[in-house]
This record gives sequence, structure tokens and C-alpha cells, in this order.
Amino acid sequence: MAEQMTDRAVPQSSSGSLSSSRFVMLVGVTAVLFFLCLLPLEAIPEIPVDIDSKPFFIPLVLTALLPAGKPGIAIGLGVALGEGLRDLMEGYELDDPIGFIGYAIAFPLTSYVIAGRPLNPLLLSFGAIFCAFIQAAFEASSFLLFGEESIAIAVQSAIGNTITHGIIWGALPLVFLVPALHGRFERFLGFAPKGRHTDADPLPQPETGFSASPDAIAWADGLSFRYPGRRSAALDRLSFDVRRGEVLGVIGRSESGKSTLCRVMAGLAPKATGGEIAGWLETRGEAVKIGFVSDNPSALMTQTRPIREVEAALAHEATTAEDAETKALAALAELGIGEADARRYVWELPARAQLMIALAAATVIEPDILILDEVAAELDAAGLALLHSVVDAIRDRDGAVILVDNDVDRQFAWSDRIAILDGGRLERIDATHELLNDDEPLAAIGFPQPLALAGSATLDAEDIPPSAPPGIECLAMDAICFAYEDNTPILDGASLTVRAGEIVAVAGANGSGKTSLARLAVGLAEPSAGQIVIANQREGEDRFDHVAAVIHTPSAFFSERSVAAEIALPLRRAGLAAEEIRTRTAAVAEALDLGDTLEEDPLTLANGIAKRVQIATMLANGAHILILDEPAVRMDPVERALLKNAIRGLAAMGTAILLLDHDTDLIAELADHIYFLADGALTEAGTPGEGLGPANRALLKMLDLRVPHRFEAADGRANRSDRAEETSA
Amino acid sequence: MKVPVLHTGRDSFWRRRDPRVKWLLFFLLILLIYIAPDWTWMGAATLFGVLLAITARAPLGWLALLLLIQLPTILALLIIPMLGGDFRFDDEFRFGLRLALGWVAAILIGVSLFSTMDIDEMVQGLRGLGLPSGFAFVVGYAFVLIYLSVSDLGRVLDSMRLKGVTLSIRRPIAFVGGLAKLFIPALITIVRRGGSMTAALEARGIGSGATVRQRTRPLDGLDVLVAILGAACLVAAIVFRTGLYIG
Repeated sequence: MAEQMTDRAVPQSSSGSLSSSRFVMLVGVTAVLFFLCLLPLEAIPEIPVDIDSKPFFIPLVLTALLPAGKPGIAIGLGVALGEGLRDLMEGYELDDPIGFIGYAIAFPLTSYVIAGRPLNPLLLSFGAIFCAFIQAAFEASSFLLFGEESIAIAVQSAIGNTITHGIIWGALPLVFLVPALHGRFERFLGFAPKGRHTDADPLPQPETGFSASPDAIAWADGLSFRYPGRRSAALDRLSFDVRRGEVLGVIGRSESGKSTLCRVMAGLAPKATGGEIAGWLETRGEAVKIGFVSDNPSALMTQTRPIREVEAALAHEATTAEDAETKALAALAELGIGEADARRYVWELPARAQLMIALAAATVIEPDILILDEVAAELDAAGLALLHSVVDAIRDRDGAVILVDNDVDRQFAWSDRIAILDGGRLERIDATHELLNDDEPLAAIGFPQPLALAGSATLDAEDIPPSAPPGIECLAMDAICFAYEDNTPILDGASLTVRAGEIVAVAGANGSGKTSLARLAVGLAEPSAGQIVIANQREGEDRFDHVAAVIHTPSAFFSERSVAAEIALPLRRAGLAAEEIRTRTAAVAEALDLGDTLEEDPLTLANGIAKRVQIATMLANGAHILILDEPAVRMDPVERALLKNAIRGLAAMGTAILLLDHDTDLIAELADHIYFLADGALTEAGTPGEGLGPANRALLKMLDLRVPHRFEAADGRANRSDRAEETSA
Repeated sequence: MKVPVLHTGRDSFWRRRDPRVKWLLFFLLILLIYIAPDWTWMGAATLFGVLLAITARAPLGWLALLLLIQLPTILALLIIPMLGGDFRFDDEFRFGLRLALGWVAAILIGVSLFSTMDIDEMVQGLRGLGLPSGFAFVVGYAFVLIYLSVSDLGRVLDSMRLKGVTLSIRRPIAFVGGLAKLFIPALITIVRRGGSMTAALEARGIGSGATVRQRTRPLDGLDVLVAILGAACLVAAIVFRTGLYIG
């Protein structure tokens, strides 16, 4: 078979090189950052003639912290594009045409001046003024197109803009921002932070000799990968194959290398990520098509409309424009996106629809291998059913699916083989039944066995212990109505109460209004009708003092350099004394098991720890109500168990907790009482055993929810036992 | 989510024109502003801009706000020549008038034409004019990134409010401190999104030069007429500016 195998050259890449997709991305990111900061500065009046305010510190931060060369050119073009986007909104100005050229020249030149040198305030200030002077000189020369009478105006504009852009909006913010950002964002763009880990050892040499199965479509042999600026390899000498007609499940703790493996298999790393790669990745035949969908649906959108997104995936196929449109519409329709939605802007559609668009773009090319990186965890029951049908269709036509998913029950049901990753190494790969029936490999990474195999250790619905007896009513929402700006109704007469020490869950499908409910409860939005009462809240007092909420992902949350500073931020803003801040920070860190991470940068933490830091930050000021919106998304089972313990501990201490989720497993494990949210209304459904049990299967299906694995497993065992009794009778 | 674009979607003569023609007209008229020989030409361009704004049913409040922002510059161009003493309609004043009218014309023409195109039409128009497909792609991609980043910024603002960081201009020092707190997660969130989108670009084959197929309809008679008139105006301005006109 070896002679049929086609070597797929694994590209060697260093973090300094810039692929065309990364170049485009850097242009786009710079343009967007510049544009978004430029808009508010437009409110500052211009000084005659044409001395204005432009946020030069944005591109200058990027210029100072990224390498010189191509990145500098991309930044310059990005700033020009950002200015052009402003013109599309606010009209064209007379100094723009040569001003655009000025940006494209000034920033690359500045990158050669300040990149590659130690970062010090003097150099940064010089770089900012140098950059502003070059750009201002070019921009002002636009006036000379009108004739030599305009020389005085051009000189005045050049000097004025050098001062405003170079000093006020350049050097001054730059000397504060560069130290605050150094080492914190570069890796997201695929660059090593300046001066970090330049002495890392070479990647391990591949161990050759792996023998792939005759059914294999693709295989890795001694595959290693390291991200820019890291000492250790994210993938360490992996050897495995992917076979026709199979679903290969991949499980492992956070940072074990699952997503990296997906990116490498899809050919995205190191092209899109930077970094170094070693070893072999081979495919059988030359035209193995790979589709890739990751867990962040909106980040997968590259076109303005869904139909164009799917058509773009067909760009390499030999089809006419009309055929491409027909195929795109059909692929979208199969995943529940009708033609009307297919022609809307992607950002007008909810997250689940965006994920389905990404899935349609990946499947429309009829991939030989479809890679799904933690996609299932984002979906409610209806979305899961669609995903399962896609997986089955690919398996049926002899393709393969790589399914990264830490839900062992789903892996047990969907996958034919499972690979376990730990610390970048492949610990084991085996048939699903063999691997999951063996306690040892799962226990080694802290994962539970699937509930269907767990036997008597599984809790039944009735076994769930109640938390502390509920206390006073802390949060009461009465007949709440809420609608979006375009009058689309979200909540219509929703009511619930949460008492001290109680965990109340709201179960609802994707897009049912859970996040809106959380925003209303915490005071980030106001209801159009109805009343929200918070215990102990005095007249005129801010609701944030009583209600803590974890609504968004950690990346949108952290602003400080250390976990301790992050937890202390709301306390400092509230004007507490330093000693009191230290005491409260230590207490809340201990309650959430964060003592070892207090000095770490919150931006570098794994998802599970980051969520607990978010909770700690929100609770440090003594809030007695905690609102959690899908808190366990993308957590591995170990992180999930730690989070569950933390939530139970907080409830035991008397915190009233409102949990909003489509994850009925989490709800079944934590909640005392549940409500269903559908069509804008909240319906009380009793305990998890009553509301989520198999007896309610039809209702749950109607609500796009599913019976939790634990109840399903208990039901399955009861049925098996009944059948055994019937048989013996 | 509400999208902050100029596009109004109102039906008009200009709304029905091909996006390629609208871009072409925009480029021609902007060139004309630099080439036009004197203030009377600029006055004519401004008048055309006013007519364009009316016939394109451009958002008048938007236009008024933009002109208000530029008012200091426009006034300065007219007033500075008068500061020397007695007002005279001399070369210096005529030059200031030419620049001021040019400024107004550029805003009127740009806003009016762009208010008749949605984002897709803008990108298609750029592609249709034969500009590099990579350039047109980056423009469209930047719009996608902007709108998704705006929702990211909303989340960052929410998070900051939950942490007690509010932006109130009544307390300027706290406002600047709050901006700094806001800036870091905002930048990191947008940069992270950019990194993820790079993977999507590669997955769609953008890195290897794939482009979306272009569907263009043929230009109609009015499209051609508008393009010819725009080009004729520019040629006339060149002729007058270079002294080739000997009438």
C-alpha cells in the first residue's frame, strides 16, 4: 500500500513568516480596530484647517509588538482601509487620496524603526512622532493638488497633525499600552511575543514506521507541532490513522492538543496559526477533501451573507455560478436555513444558524474527512439531531468524521473509535466499546465512564440530593416582557423566583431568550413591562451590588494583568481599603479553589479556571445572587466537576443561584427547581427528576431539549431489567 | 443587531444603477474635484452633489451632521483670507472658496452614492470594476469583522459594567481610566476573533487564491449614459485646467 500513499508535504514554518490568509487577517483586524476607535474621536471638533484626532496608538501598538516586514505592511494597509471604511460612512475628505498612501508607507517604515529593538518609552515616543510626521506630510500634500496657493494650508496641516497624531494620540497612550499588552495578544495573531522563548529546543524528531490500516484515508506519523513563542509542543509525535466509513472520536482535557490536532489535520496549522511542525501527515490519493468546523461559529464567517459563505467553499470546484448557488441553497436548506435567511447578513442570524452555515460550507464540498471541533456542545437537541444526520451521511458514503467532543456519552453513541490525548501525546486509540469499557484510560485523565456503562454507580432521578433548605426570596421576576429594538418579542410575561441557597435552572433551546433573561435579572437591560425585585436593594442602589452574573466568555471579561488584580477590580472601584480588598480576594479565591492562580495572567488560563475567576470577580463584592448563563460550555469533565462543586458550595453558603442553559445534563446535576423557557414564557417544571425525566420526552423534544444522559441511562437499565424479567417469566 | 451603514434601501434612480457605475462615477467626480480649474467648477460640483443627495434620497440628517463636523474647516477656509483687512473677491478668497466648495461637494457626492449601495453591492462593484479580487475581498471581510466585533464590544461593555467600570463623561479622569480598562479586553477580543477567522479563511481556500464567482448583469442604457456623462465632465475639466480649451 505504501506506494499508493501520497506524501503530503508538511510545511515548515516559523512564527515570523506570514501566509496570505494571516496577511489578510492582519489587514482586516487593523482596519477594524482603527475604524472602531476612529468613530468616537470624530466627535472631537477639528482645528482649522483639517487638524483632527485619529487613534494612531492602535496601529502603533501592533507595530511595536509585532515583527517588522510584512506585518508592518499589513498594518499600514489596514489603517488605510480603516480610514476608507470611515469614508464610506462619513463621506470623503479632500486630504484622503495621498493620506491613504501615507499610511501604507508610514507604518511599515516605523516598524523597521521600532521592531527588533528593546521596548522603551523614548524609542516608542520617537516611533510615534516619526510615523505621524510621515503620514501627515503625505496627507497634507493632497492640498497641493489644488495648486501652489495651498502650500501654507499644507504646512499648517502637516505640523498640526504630527503633534495631534504623534504625541496626543500616539506617544502618550502608547507608553502605557505597550507594557500592558506585551505578551498577551501576539499569539492570537500567530506571532511569538517579543523576546519570549527564543531558545526553545527543536521539535522532537519523528519516530517513523507507523503502519496505517488499508482503509485509512489519512494518517499521521510522528506528527509534532509547537505554537509560536511556546517552549513545549502542543502535539508530541502523534501516529494514527483515519479510516473510511468511521467516526473517530477525540477526547482529552483542556490544552491536551485536540483543537491543535484538528487544525493540523485540516491544513490550517501552521498556515493560519504560525508555529513549527515536524513529522508526516499523509493522505491516500491526491484529492482528499477536508471540511472543518470549530466551536466559535461567528469566527467562521468570511462573507457577508450565508449563501456567499457556502458558495465560497465551492470556489475550487468546477461548477458554474448558478450551480454553486443551487448547491449552496440546498446545503443550507438541509441544515434548516431557508432561502430568506440564506440571503440575510450573517450577523443578523443567531449563533446556532451561524454554526449551521459553517457546517453547510464544510459539507457542501462533500468532504472525505469532516472535522468537528467541539461543535456538539454548542447545540440544543434540534441542532444535535441535524449534526448527527450530517455525521451519518458522511459515514454512509465512506467518508470519515473526526469528532472532538468531551461528552463521553455522546462519543459512546456516535464514534467507532476513540483517541485519548493528554499533554499533546496520544495516550490510546481503540474501538469505542473496548476503550470505554476499560476504566483505566478514562480515569487516567479524570473522565467518567459513559453513564450507559457505569452500572449501579449512576444516580437515578430520585437520588439527586437536595441542596440546603431554601431561605428568603432573593430574586423575584414578575410578568416580565422584553423585546429587541426591532420589536421582536423575546419574553412575554415571564415570572420566576430564586431563594437564598437555592439553585434554580431555566432550560431553553438556543435562541429561546436565556441570555436576555440573564441581562434583565442583572440590570444590563430593562423590561418593557413587569417588575424585578432584589432582596435588600435600597432605593437608588445599583443592582450590580447585589447580583453577580457570568454571562459572556472570559475573553470579553478580563482586563487586568493578574487574577488577584482582576478579582480586586470591582472592590477597588467601590473604594474599599487595601486590607479589606486583600481579605475579600483571599476569601473568594479560597471558596472557588483559585489560591494557586492568583498571580497568573487571566488571559492565559484554561477555560474552566477562567470561568471560576469570573465567578470570583463577580462575587467578591458580596453579591448574594449569582446568575450563570451556560457556564460549562467547552469545559472538560474535570473542569466541569470543579465548577459544579464550586456552584454547590456557593449555594450551601446561602447564595441564590439562577442557572440558564440548554445543557440538561448540567441542570439535572445541579438544580433544585427548573423552569422551561419557550415562546417567551417561563413554565415551572418542578425538580429535574420531574421535568427532565424520560416521561417528559415528548415535551422535551418539542422544546428542542433532550433527556439528560443520567435519566436516559437509568431508564435504559430499567427497561433492560423489565425485559429480563419478562424473558425469565 | 442594527447595522450602522449609510445604505437606506430607498428606491431611486441612483438605487437602480449598477454598483460598478456608481463606483466609477464616484472615482471620476473625486478626480474632478482636484482637477477642476476654479471655484465655479467646484460650485457646479456642489450643486450636482445637492441634486444627487435629493434624487438619491440620501439621509439628510446624516449629511447635516457631517457638514456640521466639517464646519470649522470650511469656515476657516473662507474667513482666513478676510483677516488681512478689507474684504476683496481676490485670488486668495477665490482659492478658499474653491477648497470649501470642494470639501462640501466631496461629502455630498460620497454620502449620496454610498447610501444607495449595500455592502454586497459595494464589494461586487469593486470586483466588477476589475480591482484586484483580493482587495474587494478584504473590504467585504472587514465589514464582516466590524459587525461581529461590534457585538464583541457590546459583550466587553457589559462585562465592564458588571465589574463596576462605567464610562461617564461627568467624571473625566474616571472616564479615561475606564476607557483604558475597556480597551485591553476589546483589543484582545477582536484580535482573538481575527485569529479564528484566519483559520476560516484557510478552510475556505482563501489562502490559495480562491474567489467567489461573480454574477454580473449587463449594464443598461442609463448606466452607460451616467458613466459617459461622468467621464465627459472629467475630460472637460482636464481640458480647461491644462489650457487646451481655446474657445
